[in-house]
Amino acid sequence: MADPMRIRAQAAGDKATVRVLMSHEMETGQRKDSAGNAIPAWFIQEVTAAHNGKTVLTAEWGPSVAKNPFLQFNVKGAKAGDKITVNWVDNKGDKRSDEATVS
Amino acid sequence: MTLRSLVLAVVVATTALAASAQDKVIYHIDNTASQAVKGLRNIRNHLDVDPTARITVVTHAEGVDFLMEGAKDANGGPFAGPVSALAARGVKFEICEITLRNRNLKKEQFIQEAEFTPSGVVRIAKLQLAGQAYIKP
Repeated sequence: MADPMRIRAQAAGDKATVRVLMSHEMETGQRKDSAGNAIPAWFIQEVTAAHNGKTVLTAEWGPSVAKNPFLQFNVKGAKAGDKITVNWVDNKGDKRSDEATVS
Repeated sequence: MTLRSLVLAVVVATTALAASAQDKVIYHIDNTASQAVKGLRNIRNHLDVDPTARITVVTHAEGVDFLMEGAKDANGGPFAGPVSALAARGVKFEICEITLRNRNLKKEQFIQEAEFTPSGVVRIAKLQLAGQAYIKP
């Protein structure tokens, strides 16, 4: 299982700013190791975010996203105490789901 | 342990490690004003010359300040950029939780790359006894 995401959600006015730092290798499949063999691609393919259980964001990612990706987005209508859940699935089928409370 | 034997222990430890693939190094920062810019530069150079090095930065006391959200150096340049660039290269930044209590700081005030350790000095001692090289910039 991958390392947990670090999620921060801060309410300001009628929206909340969510910042997510994911821990993932994001290997492109283009690099070669010291022996000259291609390193197999390994990257996050799908990202979803939910506000109190309702999906507010879905994204399809590819190998061009950098290692340990950072994602920031605003959620309209989110207020302090609300739950923000972020999920990702990578191309090996590995998953991760983490939750944060809006402050 | 006398200073001399400590230095000797570190030298022995580093020589032993040089044989293995990865050098493991602790950078100790306890004063942002005098150490942070220099330390980050040292670490960047360290990784440029030896990209496989595993570096852990342990901060406590006034050394935690450069890991706070919105922290800037003496010339007004933000620390967040260089720190996250190094974090992306595998450098771990650890903050002493005793310092948080003493200075009344909250974990949310620090950048997301930062990690926490119950005590900075204990962490340094443990890593050093595990054979890691010690550098105080």
